[in-house]
Amino acid sequence: MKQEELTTLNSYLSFSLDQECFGVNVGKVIEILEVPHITRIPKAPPFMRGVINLRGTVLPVVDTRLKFGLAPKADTINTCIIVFSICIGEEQVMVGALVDAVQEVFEMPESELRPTPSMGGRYKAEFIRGMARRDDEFIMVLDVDRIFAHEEILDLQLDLEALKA
Amino acid sequence: MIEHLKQKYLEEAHDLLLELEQTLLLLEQNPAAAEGVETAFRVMHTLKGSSGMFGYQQIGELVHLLESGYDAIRASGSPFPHALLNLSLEAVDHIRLLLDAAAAATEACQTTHRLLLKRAAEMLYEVVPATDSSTAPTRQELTSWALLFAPQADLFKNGTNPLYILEDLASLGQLHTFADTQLLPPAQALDPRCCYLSWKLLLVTDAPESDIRDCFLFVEGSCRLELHPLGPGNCLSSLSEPATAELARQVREGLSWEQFLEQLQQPGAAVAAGPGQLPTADSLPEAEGGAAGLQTRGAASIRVASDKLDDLMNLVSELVANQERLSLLAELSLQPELAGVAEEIEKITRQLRDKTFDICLVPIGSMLTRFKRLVRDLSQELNKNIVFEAEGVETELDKNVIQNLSDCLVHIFRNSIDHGIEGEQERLRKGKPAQGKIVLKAYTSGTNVVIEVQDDGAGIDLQKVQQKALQKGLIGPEDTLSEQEVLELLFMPGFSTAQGVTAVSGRGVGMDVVRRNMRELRGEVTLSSRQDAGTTLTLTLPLTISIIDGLMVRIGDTDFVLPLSFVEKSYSITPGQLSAAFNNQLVLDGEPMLYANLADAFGCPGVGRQSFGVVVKTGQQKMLLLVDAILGEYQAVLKPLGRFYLEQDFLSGGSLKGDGTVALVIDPQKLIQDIIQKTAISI
Repeated sequence: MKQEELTTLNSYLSFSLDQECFGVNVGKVIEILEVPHITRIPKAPPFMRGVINLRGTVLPVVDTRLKFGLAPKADTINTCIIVFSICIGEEQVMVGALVDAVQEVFEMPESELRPTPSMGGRYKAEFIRGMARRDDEFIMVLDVDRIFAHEEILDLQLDLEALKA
Repeated sequence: MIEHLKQKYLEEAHDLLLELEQTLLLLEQNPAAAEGVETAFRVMHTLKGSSGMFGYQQIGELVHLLESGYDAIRASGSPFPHALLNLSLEAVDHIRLLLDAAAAATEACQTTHRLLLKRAAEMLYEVVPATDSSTAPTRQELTSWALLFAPQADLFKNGTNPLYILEDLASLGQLHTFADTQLLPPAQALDPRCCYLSWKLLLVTDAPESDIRDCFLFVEGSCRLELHPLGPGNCLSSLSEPATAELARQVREGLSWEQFLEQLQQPGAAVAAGPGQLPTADSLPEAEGGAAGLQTRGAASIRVASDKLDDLMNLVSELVANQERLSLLAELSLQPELAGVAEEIEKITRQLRDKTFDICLVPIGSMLTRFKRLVRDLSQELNKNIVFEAEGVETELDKNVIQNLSDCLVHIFRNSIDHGIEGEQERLRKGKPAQGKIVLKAYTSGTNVVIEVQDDGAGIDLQKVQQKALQKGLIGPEDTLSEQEVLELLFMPGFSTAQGVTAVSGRGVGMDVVRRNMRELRGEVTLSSRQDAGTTLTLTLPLTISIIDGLMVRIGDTDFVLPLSFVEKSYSITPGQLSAAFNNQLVLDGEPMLYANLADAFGCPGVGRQSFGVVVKTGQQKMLLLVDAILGEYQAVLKPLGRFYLEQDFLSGGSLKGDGTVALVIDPQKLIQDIIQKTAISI
């Protein structure tokens, strides 16, 4: 592989949530953690799972299943926390996202990201940067800045219902 | 680079203005203090110089006019005119505005500027001619002097050009300069920012010694200066060309000051010695002592950017948290050496923590100038006669606390001056001294710092407060309130008893803002008052805001920290007591006590068994909080929970425990307020 090609390549981390597979640009990922003891914060919305100690700082942890409006599920041995560094306005904020399992890091040039279908898609286009084809699977590449800057549950459900209707 | 220097200039300018303000306020008390005028003059001169350098021409022109006024007064020794003082103080405020580019550009600012310039020019006209006759320098006989001028290497940093000083000297009379280039390094090692030169000078002048010393006024403390009279008359007339050249050569090669004098006084030497040429007793030690004193002071304290201190503080907090973890691991470990090391590290960490806290502490005295100024200006504006006194100014507080505190105190002072202290006539009628008094007392009590602001004014009219509260619908007509409860009304948002809205206070913001700000600092404010005897406001603050002594309790599977400063007592509670509870009250030690189950308050009812109660007191409110277990005392390093948990404002933050998990630090004031509001609605 030539040097120029390498620099244009993008790396993505894929993880699973429920039956779906999602991807995020590794540039946004700080690290991946096992699930430690999570301290619940009283009176916070359920998708805000709580806070953990990340080497001396208090890191908020979001339960991504609940955030995406999926059914809650008990943590398993595969459950882990992806630590993201996201931009909210001018600010760089760290946030942990609880996912069912992380899968792999794969490389793919930005140009191979396919646009999300504007009609009839399962997910709102504004939170998705594109679709990546991986073997026989499609992976939804998420725009994490937008997703976590949003303070409410993302209404993926609504879209689903709209689809059914 | 230039931005960096400019930043430095701005910092320095603010410092200079503060110094000037302090000096002016001192001058007001003692208008005859010559050194005050001197200091003011010097500060202004420095400010003028650097302002010009960084393109703040407007500051330069204003300061120049004022400086000339001070110079005239300084020279004539006439008493300090009060009008100039007022003008200077206004100028100080104005210059602060000018330093802020955005504020300086406004039309209002520019108008003030023109006005001030005009007034300054008029002032100068008044001051100068009046002094002219007296300043006409008392011309003396011609005298010859030998001088040593050895600047410190960092002379250039203040923007001083030593050649100008030599020019000034030359204007006094006939001057011979001999430069000592001994210290000059080879060109490649030369640092252009350092001054390597010193000078030996011969001067024949009819000016008095003070005039000669004045030439060095602005380098005082940053140079070695020796002044040695060679005798009356022109002793240099006999100095021949070759003799001068020879002397110059010797000086260049490092002739010491003593040798230089010797040379001059040798019989048959170049200079005809006159009588009385021993160094004057004061000139030598004074100059040296002064310089040395300044130098040690310079080294004893340094200026550090405040965000560096914040960084240091954060690191130390992290270290404290990690150290606790290490101790826990060492305890569990079977290796005896590890326990020893852990203990040692614990000791060092504690010392490091205490020292770092200490560094971040600032004496309360550092913000007093602002209040002195405020009291002075406001009392003049309102035509009241008020004196301000401060006790315990050496009491120290965290620098971040001081910053926020000073805004609160401004509110409080405004209130005291505007509403509290009566006019002179009224005071005399009440049999009080005509001069009102505001006293600020600061002292440490436990881990808290207490600041009291006392005035001897009219006190608070409880009836008026109650009427007003009734008007505003804050209380009902049938409510009977205790004295304390009435005073509490003053802290309610939107409450203001001032008859009219004045420019000074009475805008309906004030005490509630003070209370809110104090709570942000985890402090408390209380009020006491006696009719016609005065009002006292008491502010209680924690020493630092980043580390809290707390009591760790458990609710469900989560640990919470209650700040110890709010905890009064704890009880063991039996289920029987709870079932006998009535109207949210438990009877403890024969007294009914309002209680709340924290598990309910936190929205997880039915969790745990409420077997302990902690009595928490915030202000006048006491409440028993039920918890599952009390785990013990705990030193919590406060960490913010971040933007995702802004809604949960009954928590002041999180704290990392030794086992690596997070405990939540409760803000008792907010929590109890929330609980009371909620129960009030549910009734």
